[in-house]
Amino acid sequence: MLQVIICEDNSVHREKLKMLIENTILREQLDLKVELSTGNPDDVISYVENNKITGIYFLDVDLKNNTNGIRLGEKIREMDSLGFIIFTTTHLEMSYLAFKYKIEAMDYVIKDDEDFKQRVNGCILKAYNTYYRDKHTEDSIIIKEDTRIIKIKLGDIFFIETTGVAHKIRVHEENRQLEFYGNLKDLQEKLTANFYRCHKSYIVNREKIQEIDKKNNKIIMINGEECYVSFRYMRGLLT
Amino acid sequence: MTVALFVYLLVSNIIIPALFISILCCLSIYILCGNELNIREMRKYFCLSIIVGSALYTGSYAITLPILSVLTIVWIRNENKQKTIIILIIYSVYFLNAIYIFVYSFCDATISNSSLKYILIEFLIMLIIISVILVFTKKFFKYKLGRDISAAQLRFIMILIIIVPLTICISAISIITFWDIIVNKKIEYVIGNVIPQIIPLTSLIFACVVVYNQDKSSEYRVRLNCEAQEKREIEEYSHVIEDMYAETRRFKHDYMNMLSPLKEYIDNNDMKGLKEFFYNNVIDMDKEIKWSGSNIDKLKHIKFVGLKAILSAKIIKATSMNIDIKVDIIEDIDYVDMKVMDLCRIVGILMDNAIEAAIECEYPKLKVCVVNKNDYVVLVVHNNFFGNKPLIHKIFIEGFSTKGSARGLGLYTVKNIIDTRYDNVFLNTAIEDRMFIQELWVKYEDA
Repeated sequence: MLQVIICEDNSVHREKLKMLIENTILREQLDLKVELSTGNPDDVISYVENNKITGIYFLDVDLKNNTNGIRLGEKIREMDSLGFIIFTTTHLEMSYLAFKYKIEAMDYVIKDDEDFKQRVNGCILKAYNTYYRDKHTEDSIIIKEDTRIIKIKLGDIFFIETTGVAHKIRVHEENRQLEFYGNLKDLQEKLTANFYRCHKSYIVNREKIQEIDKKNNKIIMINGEECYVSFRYMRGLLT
Repeated sequence: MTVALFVYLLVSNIIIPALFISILCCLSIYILCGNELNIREMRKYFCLSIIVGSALYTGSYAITLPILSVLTIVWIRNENKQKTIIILIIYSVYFLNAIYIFVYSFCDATISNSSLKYILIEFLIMLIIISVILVFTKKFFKYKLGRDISAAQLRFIMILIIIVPLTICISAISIITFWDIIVNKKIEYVIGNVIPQIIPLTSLIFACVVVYNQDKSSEYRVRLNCEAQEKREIEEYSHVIEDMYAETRRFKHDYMNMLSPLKEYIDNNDMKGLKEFFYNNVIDMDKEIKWSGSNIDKLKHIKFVGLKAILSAKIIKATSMNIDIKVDIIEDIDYVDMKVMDLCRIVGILMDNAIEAAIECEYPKLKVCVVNKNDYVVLVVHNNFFGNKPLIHKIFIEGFSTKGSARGLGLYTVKNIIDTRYDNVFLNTAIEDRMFIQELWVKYEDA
């Protein structure tokens, strides 16, 4: 169950934000509730600790407390790996990228900005949709390395290959290439049937194949990228 | 000669002795550089020493030297000191064995063909000799490697290494000529078995020692260059910081001057004048000052000097090209688990590419971010680009560049470095919302 949690030390801003969110929920008829609205980060931590939840968090960057927004975000991320964290701030000069990579923050909103309302609306809807879409359709896999969580949409994958270094694999997509620890065998167990192990070091998505070059044992993907198919697995690919 | 006899001779004269010596080689390698090796590597070394042995035991100059030379060239084609040492150890063991055969030929006059028993005895005696030598060498090396060797010492060692085998070789030849009159059989044996081993081995050992020292000195040179570069970059960085400091001081000085007229207006209760003055002069005060490279101060968080140097150099470059640059670093970055030189090369290439791509846009934008995330350090470069979306799989191909030929070595090099040397470094590439994104994830190995 998705919940909204607000942590903002300025009570005026807090009430305003809460009202905004509740309005959005009413208007869009979302299955969502603001469960906690507080100025004290410790309340948030103990709440998340006691209730295993997935939340949409609105956190103020500068809390007048020992725990600032970043530390709070980090702690939340440890407990709620799939939650959506949105930072609120008054600075224009916000180090958003650092937040994004450090705690996988979803977005940030600037409190005094004119489009504050729209941004908050957008964030809520985006988080809500992402959460329910991911939950109901099985079209993405989540790879949990001990400290990294990687989400990949199956439909985006072209092929997966091993790299020159042991235990490192690389996923090729149209607009992305990403690498992580793992091995093809374990990964293939998570994949659907349209993924085919066509080579010792390749798994290919059948849907993305443009043509098969039998002479050179190559598969040409729809974006022109090539991967290899071994003779042994060629037959399985053609059927 | 029948096939069976040929196989028998091949096995008993070449393969089995080579096998035994290979065991000795692996033992020596394990003892001398054991803590860094694994079983798979060991198997590789074992095969290598068997090939060396087989080539040597054919006893023919025409076969031995070419095969060994090709083998050596292939084996140490990359600048890898470890590999040079390994092959040096293998050659040395065979060399010791050749000396042993030489000495042995004087003790026992009745060696005509080497039986299995003989080989076994040879193996056991060599095992003892080599273990003793290894223990000494290991102690010697530990003592030596503890401190840097000076150039004079290096020269001394070089000369010693080259002279000693050569002396043995020459004295061997002279002794044979001296014994010529006495025993003919022994001479045949020595000429047939020992000399074809000693001469190729000596020359190859020379070559390897020279290569090793050459590699070492070139490595020093590269490191020195790298450090000098780093120093220049840090100097430039400190200049920028000094300029910023001077700017701040000027501002401090100015703003007292600009605020003091306020007192006049306030004292006179001139609200209108105050308003006018305030909006005309005070509010825009900091816009007059160029906060040049106001982002560069974020680099203070980076405690890893090499990274700081390269980032500051590239950020200064980008700023001077009027790129809208944003640096997001919010916490201290103490260490990145890569070789400094490789890290600098990779970051340099990523930044250069980003700058090159961004500068073509009307509003060039560049974002740099470094964070610690659990046991990773993540270094991210975002930039915008002009024109069509580049195909991601193409940019990593050697020679590819959006800007003509002879430029596209960058990303290929990056991938090459990461894929061949690091299993704790991950490079993710993506295009999102017309921004080109490169992420470098570096894991702490022993965390």
